[in-house]
Amino acid sequence: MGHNGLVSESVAAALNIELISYVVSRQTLHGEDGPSASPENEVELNTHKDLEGLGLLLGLRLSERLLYRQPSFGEWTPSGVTHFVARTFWKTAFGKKVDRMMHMNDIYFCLIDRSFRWLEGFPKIKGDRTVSTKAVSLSAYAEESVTKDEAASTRDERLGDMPIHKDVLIYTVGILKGLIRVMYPSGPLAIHANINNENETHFVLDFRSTTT
Amino acid sequence: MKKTPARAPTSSNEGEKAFERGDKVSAEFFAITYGALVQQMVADLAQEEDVEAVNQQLDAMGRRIGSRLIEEYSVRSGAPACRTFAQAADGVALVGLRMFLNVTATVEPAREAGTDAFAIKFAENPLALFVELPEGPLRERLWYSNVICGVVAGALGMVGFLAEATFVRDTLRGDAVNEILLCFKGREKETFQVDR
Repeated sequence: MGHNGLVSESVAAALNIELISYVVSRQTLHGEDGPSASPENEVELNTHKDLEGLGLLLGLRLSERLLYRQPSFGEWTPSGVTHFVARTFWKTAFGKKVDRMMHMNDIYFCLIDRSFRWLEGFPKIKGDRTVSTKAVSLSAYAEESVTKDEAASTRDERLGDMPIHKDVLIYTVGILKGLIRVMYPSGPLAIHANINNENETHFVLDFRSTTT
Repeated sequence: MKKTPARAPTSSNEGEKAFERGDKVSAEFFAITYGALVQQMVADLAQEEDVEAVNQQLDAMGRRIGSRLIEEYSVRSGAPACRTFAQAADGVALVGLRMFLNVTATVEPAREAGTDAFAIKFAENPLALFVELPEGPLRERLWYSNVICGVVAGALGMVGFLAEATFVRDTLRGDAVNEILLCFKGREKETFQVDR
């Protein structure tokens, strides 16, 4: 095939936003149509699960393509994983490398994107407000009151079925989880993302044994 | 291909230059994203046979994407404003498809479909990497890349051309080439101007 393996970053960004919109609107529709309509918090939680699930699927499939061409055998180190994500994955998905990386003892990393492409066109975060998404974990779901509060807060932000910042972050975290789990299958790992009041987007890869 | 030699090389070059100027991402990532989306839409069908609903969803999604991409096309492609249907068809096939999808396409009048119809053909489809459609309703009725038709119609609509774009041949169905039939229905009296 003569194709050089690239497409415009604009069309890829637009497609990903449409995918997120599809998942959000589909959940809203299903929630409303149910014979016993789901409580709003439950609809919100299902949206988060679906977004992360679809992101995971993409990450897993993408790993097959990206890692096929890597010479490394066996498991990657946390530092190796992070550099691969910061350079190769970011170039693959966003057409550039991450802007900045911070780390602590080669076990906790923060990838910083000054102007995250998939949030272009979303309103700026104002004042001292931030947006954050902790990694979804089994224990989090056990804490029913916590997750319900979390769902309630994002539900209040929603206007109809338009995506919000957190949807984009959850989906992207899902992609990272799918990708990284193939490279680092058995070690401890938590991934979360946040947007600060300077509109920088941070993706945290936390390889510490115990995470709170 | 019966085309005016003076025009095609210029438009093709414009598409190539526009593509090179922009930021680019992996076509594999793009195809995997699209595949996951189509797969989800098919899984969400209430009736397994209702494949046409997916075609319509992809078209609607494409129209939204096209209405956003047209601004970038206007600003960054360097292509002149299209004044005739033939020029618009050239813009789509030789500049737009190259600029955004990195697709080399040809365009020619489709006489049998009317005086304002054009056949756009392309051999390679970046959306359809890694895809095989199973025998049955999907292979027979799904236009897998129907989002492209929506993008084309949506983008043209934003600059005053009323058009319908439909797939008539698809390599995923076993055809030799991918072909989109682009039919112009008229023009809006007032066109949007993208000022920047």
